[in-house]
Amino acid sequence: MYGGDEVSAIVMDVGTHSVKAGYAGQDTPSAVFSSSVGRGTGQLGGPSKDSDAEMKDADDPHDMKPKSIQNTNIFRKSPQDKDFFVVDSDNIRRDDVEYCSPFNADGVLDDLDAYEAICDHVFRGRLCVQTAEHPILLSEPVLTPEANREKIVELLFEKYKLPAVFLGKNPVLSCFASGKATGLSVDVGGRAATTCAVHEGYALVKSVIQSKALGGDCLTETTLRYMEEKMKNEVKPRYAFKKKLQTGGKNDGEFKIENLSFPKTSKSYNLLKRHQIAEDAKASVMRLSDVRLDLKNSEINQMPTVQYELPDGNTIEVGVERFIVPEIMFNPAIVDELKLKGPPVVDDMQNAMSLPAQVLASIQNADVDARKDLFGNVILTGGGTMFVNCKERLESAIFDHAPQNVKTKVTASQNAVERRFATWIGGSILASLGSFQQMWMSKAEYDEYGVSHIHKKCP
Amino acid sequence: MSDFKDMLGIPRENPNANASGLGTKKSKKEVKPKGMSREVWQIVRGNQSSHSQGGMQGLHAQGGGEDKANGGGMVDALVPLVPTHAGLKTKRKVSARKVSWSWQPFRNSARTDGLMLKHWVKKNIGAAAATGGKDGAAGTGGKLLPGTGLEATGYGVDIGGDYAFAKYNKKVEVPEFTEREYERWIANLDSKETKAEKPSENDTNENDENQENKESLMNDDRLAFKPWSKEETEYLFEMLRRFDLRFIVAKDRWSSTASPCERSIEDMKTRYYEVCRALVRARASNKEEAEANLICKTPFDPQHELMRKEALETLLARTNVAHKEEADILAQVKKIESDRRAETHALLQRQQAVFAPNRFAAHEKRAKIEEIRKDFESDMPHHGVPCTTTQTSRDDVQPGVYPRSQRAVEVAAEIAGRDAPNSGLGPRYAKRLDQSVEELGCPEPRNGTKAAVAGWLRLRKQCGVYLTLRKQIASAHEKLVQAGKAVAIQLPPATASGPALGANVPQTPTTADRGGFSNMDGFPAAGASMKQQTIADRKPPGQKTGGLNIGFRDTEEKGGKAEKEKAKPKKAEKRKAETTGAGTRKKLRKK
Repeated sequence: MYGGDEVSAIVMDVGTHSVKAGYAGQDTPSAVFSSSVGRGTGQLGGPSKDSDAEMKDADDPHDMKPKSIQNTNIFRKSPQDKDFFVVDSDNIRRDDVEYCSPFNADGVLDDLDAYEAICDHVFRGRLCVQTAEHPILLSEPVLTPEANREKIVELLFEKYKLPAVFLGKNPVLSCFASGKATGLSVDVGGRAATTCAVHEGYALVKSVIQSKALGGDCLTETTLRYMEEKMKNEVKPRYAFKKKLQTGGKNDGEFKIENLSFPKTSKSYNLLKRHQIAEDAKASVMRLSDVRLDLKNSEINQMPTVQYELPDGNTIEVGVERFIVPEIMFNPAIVDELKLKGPPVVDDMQNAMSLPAQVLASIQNADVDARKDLFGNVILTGGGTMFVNCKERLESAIFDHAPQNVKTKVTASQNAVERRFATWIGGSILASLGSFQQMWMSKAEYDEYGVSHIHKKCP
Repeated sequence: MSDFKDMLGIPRENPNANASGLGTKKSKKEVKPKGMSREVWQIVRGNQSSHSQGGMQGLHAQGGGEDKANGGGMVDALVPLVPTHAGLKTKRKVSARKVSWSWQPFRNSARTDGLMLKHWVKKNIGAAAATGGKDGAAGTGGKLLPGTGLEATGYGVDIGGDYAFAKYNKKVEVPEFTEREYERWIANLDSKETKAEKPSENDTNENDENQENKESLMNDDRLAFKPWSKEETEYLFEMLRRFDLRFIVAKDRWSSTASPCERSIEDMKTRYYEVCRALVRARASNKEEAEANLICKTPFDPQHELMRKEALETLLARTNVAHKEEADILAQVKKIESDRRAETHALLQRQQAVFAPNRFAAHEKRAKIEEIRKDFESDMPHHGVPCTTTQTSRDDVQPGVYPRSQRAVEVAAEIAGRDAPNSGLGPRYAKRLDQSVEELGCPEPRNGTKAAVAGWLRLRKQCGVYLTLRKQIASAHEKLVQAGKAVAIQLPPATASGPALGANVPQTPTTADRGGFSNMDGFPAAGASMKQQTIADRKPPGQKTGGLNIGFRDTEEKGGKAEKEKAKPKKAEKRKAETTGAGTRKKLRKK
């Protein structure tokens, strides 16, 4: 029997890198955009509303912003202002608009206003739904503090009047996406790589290991630094220059680059744009070597270089570094070979755990009775695993340290979209199951038991 | 019929059409008969204009395929290229079985809060639409909503009208206890627990060792008893209820705020089953009923569980890499052992060879025939030997004078037969001896000079010694193999390889030592002939093989001793190469 039952639920996965949202039952999210949200300052852009500050209590639990910022009162207090800009279709450079993710450096939600802006954008801007008619399944990082869950649930019920809410943990959902209830989820996301054991549909929170050094953002930043050191100049984002096709003369058909100066552009926007370039370079040039990278091996050093063209027409010749950057996932100490100046991208990056070590440690953290199943069901997901050979490398590395006579298998969808959006897809599957419909935390329950009921409903 | 006229450009003559008012006809022509498809109508219409209305009516009545009914003029135009009745048949009436879906709210009986969500429900528009309202009204409670319980087979709706998936809501039954029950039956469990453990251990027939083991485990701090409070017990039961008795998850989510001390899975299981057992016993009407319950029949044994987990952990700690390393080491050990065995064997063989010093000496320097003769003659007994053949009692004594030397060989054979150490062994042994001597390329001496006969006799004697020794070695080795202390190794052929080996001993004893010890094949290095043997020696030892003898014979055929001497340096060179190879191998092994 096909166990699906459509209730037009919304599934939303707010990741540290991008937001994925869509309807349950679909196979890909219909809205995918960066989770960086821009916010205007009080002085510029949009009418200034000083009354907002009074409307909010001083000890508002929503207010997670650092005190220094609060005192200067630069930021808008409420996302109702039009001063929040979600980097989606709206991708315009604005003066004095700071772009930041709702998550802090550790991947923990700390900016609920930005989160609210994202929800607004999803419900009103992209999906265009009457929120009171659609239950929502939200994915959450496995180590979300209880306070954060409560805030999110409160926001959803109070502001959007959703009929029902469910919070699914990322590892559980990515396991469901590959049709498993037990497995070890390896999710290489933007801010961190997370490994977590899932036992019969429940994430084992004590098995979780997170590593920032292996996250996609860290590799992107490393790539960016490498590119800029190689060029001895900053990568120029597209907004910072004008490209003009020349006609006639000896430079016919060539582009003339004219630098533009926007001194009021915030640093965070500049960084966001440069990261986007580095991300592209990472995806198009960087390759994961199919065996453990050995730089003493002369063959590797003789690999032909690859050209990467930047938006302003400059090209970078990438040599052996194209193998080194992805290799960080399997051997973080190799980052030294890039000889980057300045402080490390992530503290103590060289000594970080490699991905296979992290997987093994996570398995070791789980109960001994659960371990055998975990070895056979390692599930590789997340945008950071898009390198070719990633699955094979991980599998062979784990196999060496796996117990004898225990099956070792790494499951990863061959489809890039499925692998990247596995968490969302798992949520989509879960929310469209008939037998799941009893799991929602409804508005009635919220009214009756209060927000802390969510911990019981969604353990 | 008018086609050719059209083609030739001849205007049509149709007085009929012109005569009877065009207007009225046209209005009738333009009407497409019902049931005829548009395409067919467009083809037919042209012809229609030139023909009678009857044809069209016939067409209408009987369908396009039935062109016989039409006038003769219609035949050509109406022959269908494709079967056309499909298009002209009256359409199926699907409306009767039409299924439509409606977006209906539903409630799920598995929920307690009456959450109303909407989903698509299959509904029968025809008959069910009328009864829909009635059904909905008859629905009990909140379970049945208008439009959901229309069809028993409807999608998402079950027979009772309940939500189809509500029946999958299965929960594990975790017993609940009241405060009174806790006070009476559970609160004092803690004190009883240790006492209760003992008899259950004793009633099984365990040996003392096991018992001791268990007691030592009991002292283990992992099993140190930490008393459970009522709150903690309730928290445990709540967790187990929430996670459907998944102890692993309950342990993982165990909150340190709710419970004062860290509880292991075994602790939780022990407590849970203890409490359940107490409750079952307390609630049962009689003792038999209580004891029949599975929870009482099979008490949980935390010690066993801990031991099992420990064993499992050790098992899982054996990784593939470790296993591979172990296998490699074992393979190396095996190799070293076999090497060592081969070395001992080689040593044994070398010793045999070394213990024939005169042979060794004989080949050390270029032999001069005089010296050999002297050597052999010195062997000979100077005084006469009583010899039967010389006595005249023999029958075959020919009359007349004959040189003494004529009988020398016979005499020698006789002496040889008597001198052979195992002369009592009979003709079979003598034959083997003869054979081995012959294989050395020394047939019975043709001319019985003193030296030749003496040498031949000595050779025979040594062959005899060699054969006996070989036999002893073989039997000793067999015994070892039977005792499992050695692996069956092929001995060199049973025949006269002994002396041959002696002949092959290298000139410098030091290199010989090395070569002999490190030769992997387990035989003393013997150059090319040795190689042949290793290939050919897969036959039982008693059997004659090419082996050594072939090599030896080759040199013999080329021309006696001198040739043999010449061939030797070459062999020695070869052997040197081998020994150096072996030496490097040895070094490697040491590493």
